[in-house]
Amino acid sequence: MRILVVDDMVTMRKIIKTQLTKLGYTDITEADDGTTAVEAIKIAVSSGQPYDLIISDWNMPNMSGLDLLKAIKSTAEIANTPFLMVTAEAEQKSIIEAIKSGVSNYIVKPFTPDTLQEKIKKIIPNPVK
Amino acid sequence: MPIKVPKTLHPFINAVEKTFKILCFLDVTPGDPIIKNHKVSDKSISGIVGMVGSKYIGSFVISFTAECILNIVQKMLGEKYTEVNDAVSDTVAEITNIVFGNAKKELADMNITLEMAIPYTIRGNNHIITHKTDGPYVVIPFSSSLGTFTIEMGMEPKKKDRRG
Repeated sequence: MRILVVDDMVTMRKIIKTQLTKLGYTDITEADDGTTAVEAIKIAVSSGQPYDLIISDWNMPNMSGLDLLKAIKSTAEIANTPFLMVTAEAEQKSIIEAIKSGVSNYIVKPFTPDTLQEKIKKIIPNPVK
Repeated sequence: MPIKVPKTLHPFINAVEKTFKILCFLDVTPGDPIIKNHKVSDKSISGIVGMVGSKYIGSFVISFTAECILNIVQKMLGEKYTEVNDAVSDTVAEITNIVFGNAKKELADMNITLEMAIPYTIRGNNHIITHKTDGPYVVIPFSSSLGTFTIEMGMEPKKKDRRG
């Protein structure tokens, strides 16, 4: 399973990557910005190796996770890519906004590897690691 | 006379305890609040986030001794550093972001809504913390097996809400 982790903060990318590795996922790519992520997703699709899951932070400068989600959903070739939103905000209005934009699921920081696995399985019931 | 912890600080104390418990299995203990009337930090690095809402304006700050944050980074990421560098700053910014995000939810439940903002860090001896308010600030010291740190907050009603 190919996973793209998008976060402007190196620390959070390291935490997520470490947790994914502990869970047995090995094909993990990182992007430090929403714009970079869109390009990486398009390239992956055109090369015949699309990402199976995007895990993206919400609160990023330049392009937020929500804007990234909207950009993915409005681009036909990548619109169906599963999207797990990582957020430090657990407020209902933010979550509703993400759901309306088509997010597959969301996870609130801080989280444990078990919680991350649980969220991934809700999106992809039988993930192939 | 002991200072009472302002109700707006409780969500931050709760968020700090939760964040360190989950991210590095660390129990932290809050001490008695202190009133601070200046902007100089006695710690090595601070994560700062400006808080702007419909009714309130302010800043939240979390400041660590070098020993404490280097121990925390090692416990959290498994990476050992000997000085407070850019990688350590990134971790402090992320901790600030997570604590603020969690506290923001609890504050919203108290009918205090704040906008999410991007945190930043400042480091060095006697660094100056740029607060959004003139003070005073309430400081809560924390102790833990990995060292000591503080949180501090300045928050006040927005000017338009203070008229009449």
